[in-house]
Amino acid sequence: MLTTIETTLIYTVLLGSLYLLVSLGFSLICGVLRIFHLGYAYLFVATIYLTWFFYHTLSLPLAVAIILMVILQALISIAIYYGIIARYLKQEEIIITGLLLIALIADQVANRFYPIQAAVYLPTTIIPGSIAVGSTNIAIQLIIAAALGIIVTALFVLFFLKTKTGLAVRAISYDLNTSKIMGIRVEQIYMFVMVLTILPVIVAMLMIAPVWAVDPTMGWGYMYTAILVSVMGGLGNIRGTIIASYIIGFVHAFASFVVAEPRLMNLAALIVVVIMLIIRPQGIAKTESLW
Amino acid sequence: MSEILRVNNVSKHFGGLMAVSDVSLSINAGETVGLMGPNGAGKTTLVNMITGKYDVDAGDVQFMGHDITKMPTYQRCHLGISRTYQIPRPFPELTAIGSVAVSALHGKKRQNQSFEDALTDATHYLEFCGLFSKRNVLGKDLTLYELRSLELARALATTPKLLFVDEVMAGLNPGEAMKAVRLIERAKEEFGVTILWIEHVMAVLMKAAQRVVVLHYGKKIAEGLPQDIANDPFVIECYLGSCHA
Repeated sequence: MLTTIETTLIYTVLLGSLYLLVSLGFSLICGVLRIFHLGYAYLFVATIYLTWFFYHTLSLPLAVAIILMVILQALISIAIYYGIIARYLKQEEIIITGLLLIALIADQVANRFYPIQAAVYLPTTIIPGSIAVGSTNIAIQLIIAAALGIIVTALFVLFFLKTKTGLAVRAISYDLNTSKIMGIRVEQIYMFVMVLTILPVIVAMLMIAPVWAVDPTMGWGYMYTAILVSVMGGLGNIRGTIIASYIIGFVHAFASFVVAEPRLMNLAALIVVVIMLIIRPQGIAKTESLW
Repeated sequence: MSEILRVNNVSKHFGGLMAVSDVSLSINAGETVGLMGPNGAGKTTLVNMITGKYDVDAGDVQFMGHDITKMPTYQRCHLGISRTYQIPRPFPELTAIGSVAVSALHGKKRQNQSFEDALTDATHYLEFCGLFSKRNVLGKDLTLYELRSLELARALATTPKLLFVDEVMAGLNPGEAMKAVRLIERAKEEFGVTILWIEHVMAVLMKAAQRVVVLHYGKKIAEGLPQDIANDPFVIECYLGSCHA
């Protein structure tokens, strides 16, 4: 029993930290742009398959493939911002539909060129093997991924609290019109946030790729987690996102190791989120703003 | 005195409601102009068109020789237009100094201004508005009077040439209201800003404004010296509720 509790706690930290990376960008877009970015699922697919395209199909070195993938993802984000979000800012239903279509298109394109049988595998392992933490053996790659989750989140928080642009992002999340009146170039900040949000997802996927299975529809699984975490945390609030990530991490670990029914992971998390929302509809966060 | 703002025949409607209809006005540099009218007269809509929140349906707005009719709001701010709100709109989770730093950082293009420079700048404006001791208090925890002062500090930190002041006395007790009025008058002297002052309380405009413009049902019905406006039978009738512009 002691071992089970120990394993559950260890995986709570590991999964919670990974879920931070998965959810941070989604939460940020909700908090700053005030849109429910259903297209966010494409980022997971694009990270893996664009890297694979440059690395495997074009036979470029892995580091070059990753750099090109990041550049291309940034350009895609800018194109999405100007093509859909900026153009239809006052017509939310068009934005949501357009963004959702992008995620669906990304799925289908990935599936067309690299179906699940293509055995996509990114060799992004930093340190192979596993180590024993207490009585639990854990892949070192997962530990590094979790550590990066905490580091990236801390850097994001520092950025929002201690930089000029971070202050502008927070101001916009509090009051859009007043921010404009005070001279903030809101469109520029929106575009910046769109690009910034791809980074945690890229880190997460590159770390997870060698450890967990990848396939063209994988984006929806991570998207599901991002939505649960963000809704539970209070849409757009980073403090809430941090707490909710670890709660969902705990629920997943509990279902896997204590209940020993990994298939119940998402159902259990969904039930916890629904109960949470019945008690506190606005989620964990005290405010609707970013921090 | 040189003209700083010229509004030419602007109109704005929301669906079937004509909020502002064919209004023109001009303001000279250094003036304090009062803008008055009953509730729903179109005062705030007019200011929202000049500051860029609302698009202008007809007419144009000129500021310091620039046609700003279709200019984005942030550019109008960089040119020197700022405002306070009747109902304060603080950044609730930012401290007072953080809120003013937002304006100091973004209100004007400044070369090599660091985050720390902006905080120093913000301290100056907070001190001026009597909020130095509240600099680390969150916006959501300030009193109404403090919020009004913060609004002014935030607006001044953008280094405006033209400041719109929206009903500073609303909701304040008489002592606080007089302090707020004196603060705006001091801001005008210290920073040399031109002021368009939206106000219901005629006594304030009688004292502070050189000219008064009166709106009613979205139309300009009078303009002149404060004492002339105060004695204008048509204006008085509108305030008592029996006229139709």
